[in-house]
Amino acid sequence: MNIALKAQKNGRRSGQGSLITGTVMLFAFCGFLLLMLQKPTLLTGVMLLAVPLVLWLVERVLPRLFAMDRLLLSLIDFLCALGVLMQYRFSPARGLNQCINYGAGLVAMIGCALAVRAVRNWRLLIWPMIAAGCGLLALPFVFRAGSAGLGATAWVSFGSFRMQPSEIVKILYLFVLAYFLSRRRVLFSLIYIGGMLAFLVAQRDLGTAAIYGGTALVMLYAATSSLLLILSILGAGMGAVAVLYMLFKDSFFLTVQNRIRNWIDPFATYDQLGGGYQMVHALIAMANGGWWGTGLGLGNANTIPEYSTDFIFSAVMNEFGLVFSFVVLAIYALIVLRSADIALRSTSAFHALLALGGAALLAVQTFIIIGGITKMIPMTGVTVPFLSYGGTSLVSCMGIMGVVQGVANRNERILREDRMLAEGGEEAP
Amino acid sequence: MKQLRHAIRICAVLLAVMMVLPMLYGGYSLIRYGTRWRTSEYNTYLTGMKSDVIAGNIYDRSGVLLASTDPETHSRVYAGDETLRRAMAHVLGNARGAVKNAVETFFADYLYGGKMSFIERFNQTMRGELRGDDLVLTLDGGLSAYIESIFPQDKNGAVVVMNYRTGEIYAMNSYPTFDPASAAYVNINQSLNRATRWLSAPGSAFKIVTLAAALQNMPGVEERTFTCTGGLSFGEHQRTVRDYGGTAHGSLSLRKAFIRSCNSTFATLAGEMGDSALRRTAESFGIGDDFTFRDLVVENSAFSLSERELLGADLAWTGAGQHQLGITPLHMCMIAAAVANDGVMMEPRLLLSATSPMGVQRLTFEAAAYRTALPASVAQTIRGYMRDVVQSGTGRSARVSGLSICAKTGTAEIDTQENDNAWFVGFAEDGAVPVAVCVVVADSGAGGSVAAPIAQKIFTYMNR
Repeated sequence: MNIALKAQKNGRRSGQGSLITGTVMLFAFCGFLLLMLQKPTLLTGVMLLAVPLVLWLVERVLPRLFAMDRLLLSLIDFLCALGVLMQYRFSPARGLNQCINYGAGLVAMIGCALAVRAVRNWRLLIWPMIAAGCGLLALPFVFRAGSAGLGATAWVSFGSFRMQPSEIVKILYLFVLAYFLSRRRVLFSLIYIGGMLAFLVAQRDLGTAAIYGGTALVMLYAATSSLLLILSILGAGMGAVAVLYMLFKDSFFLTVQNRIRNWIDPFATYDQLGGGYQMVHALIAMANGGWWGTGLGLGNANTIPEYSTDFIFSAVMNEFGLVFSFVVLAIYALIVLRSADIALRSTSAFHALLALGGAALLAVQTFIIIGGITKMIPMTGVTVPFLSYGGTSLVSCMGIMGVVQGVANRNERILREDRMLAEGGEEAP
Repeated sequence: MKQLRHAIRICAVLLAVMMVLPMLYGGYSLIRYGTRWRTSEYNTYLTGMKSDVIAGNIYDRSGVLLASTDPETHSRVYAGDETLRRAMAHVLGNARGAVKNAVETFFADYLYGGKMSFIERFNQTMRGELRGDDLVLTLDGGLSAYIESIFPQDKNGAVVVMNYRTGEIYAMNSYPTFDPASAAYVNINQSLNRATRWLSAPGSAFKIVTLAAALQNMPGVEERTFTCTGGLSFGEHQRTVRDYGGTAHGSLSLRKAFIRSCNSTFATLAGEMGDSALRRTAESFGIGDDFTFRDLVVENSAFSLSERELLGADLAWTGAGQHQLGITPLHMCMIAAAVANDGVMMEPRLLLSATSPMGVQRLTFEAAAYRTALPASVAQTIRGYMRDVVQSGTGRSARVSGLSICAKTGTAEIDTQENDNAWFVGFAEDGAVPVAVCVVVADSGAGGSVAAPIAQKIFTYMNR
């Protein structure tokens, strides 16, 4: 405990935090400066100053109001800044909207962090959480948004407001799993996981189902340390897929087959409906970018239909190049490692599982979409955490990070209490 | 708690590694497929580049200007001689990308300054003119134009001439062709590069591969005597493998069967070897490979359309070069070249050098082996058989005085056509003219009478 304490103190004194904050601010400044040089507008000028200022405020002021892990916050801010920059580069209006989404995300983050900090008796909350989760996931069946085409029907719309409940339910899911697994109620957890997956598969939202399933595997392994359990679940999962395949060979699995065909050779299915068109343009965008990118604002990733959401990372690879993209993914890896570090410092199994599960949710989602757009695995449409355009996605990702920040805050508090006990309570921090 | 922490560490490392994997895979794809993707006809980014940069010149191996750019209009200007323009149309393509993956699009990185360093770009911008790299191709303009003048103009087909020691392609003509200077619209039939993208059964020319498989898998096959009655029939459906014109060759040795191109014998060999042995040898010749050559996009050849094991008549027909075989003329040329080069198949190359406008040599040619197709001793035996094909067999009309030519002809039956496709693959053994030639004339007649005389003229031209 003492070493950890010292390290934390040193970290704060040597100003690591402000160095990273400064770098993120400089990145945002330079990005908007480039856009300004290409096409000077008043709005870009305002963004040029406002975005670094907001980043500075968030990273300076927020940790003072509420103790949180500043490194994690800086990393998230970097990704959000990159997201705003990319959205703004294609459409200033969307860039502004993304700023508002970022604000909503901050609120969600603080809210989740406060919840982790304030709630002491989770037992009372867990059943309402399960009920709320199921209720929200059932919404798309009631309020169908858009046409029931080939893809997922996971959206809900109220007038002009559209949302994807499965994004928000992720946070509830995280709490419920961490709660039951920390009490070693594996069987109940499995039933809960199965139920949630059934909802998602029924909505044809395979990408999200994979995120839920992958996260569950990670948390199950962490809680039980039993590889046998994981392997038997995987085996049972394959069996379930085989049964489903027999049942829905001609309806649901046609979509799946289609996706696999597009994965094997997108150029062959370029002209077909629901074919490889999108994938081909994603690959071309990546190849145009090469190692060093075409330069911000000089690429043509907007030939990909969904360039602002699922394929935003293709735009990043296009304009910033593969080397920079590698760094961005390393930052995702750092977020995962930092969250795991917070989990390791935690004193209760529940909070450790919360932090690890949060990291797993983000990591699995990032892998599915980045693996998809680089043609490493078949493409399934999910958003890129922090980068994709869209309020629900950003709110949910930042909410998940808020849960991790809440665990960090709790660790800090316990550390402080320990220290005060050790030093006889003489020196207040 | 201790166990939990241990498990968390494992999970964290796994998840972190998982984050980086897609980018490693992305780097791998970029190296392997990047150029193909970038130069795909669906890429609109290249169009933008073209308006800013004056594309570099393209020369043939002896310095004849094939394509250049008008500095005023930025439009491409092709060689002055119409015959040369038409001969080069498929290798060069045009700047609008009429021909898939041709030099004008596949080397766009060089031609449009994509390989420029930041400093070079800065220098050039300061001088007020952005220029791409100049390319020198391995092609021989004179030879290509000569082939253009002797190929039957009303027929479809392709001719490939390559150096079997280095892999340099001297000529690659495809028919029907077009004139890039005058053709406003190029239809799909004209724009298809038949040398690299046309998969079809090579007929008896494939017997080189069947022979290689038999020599390697059937000990003592050279001493055996085969009996040919003009055809072989299989199973209850009475599907037959016929000999060309229904000729019964009587009893003959393997060498005689190869020289006279006896289908029955090679069908028998394929049947005795079985699917796996023949398929293995075909694979060692690169059939079924995912070709990712540096300078060329070549359609992947196929042994059969299905993954299933071939049996009976299907296998027999494949042994004689028919059935579902799909091989490009360029690949058949590479197969002959491998036999000529002691079993080593060289990577086909098109680019001799690339030079920046400031005179920096950006790329120099280095020959590279693609794969070892067969042992040198087997290659030598096959060369002997192929020499006899020209001396006394179906390839007699390819004889050139002063050169030792080895060859195999093919007459491929295509269901939808009235006449057969005539094939000729061969090479000159002499070190002075180390060239392999593949000639295909579609819907024309027998390989020995239609394709071989064209090859004969090409060898004579090379030996002049």
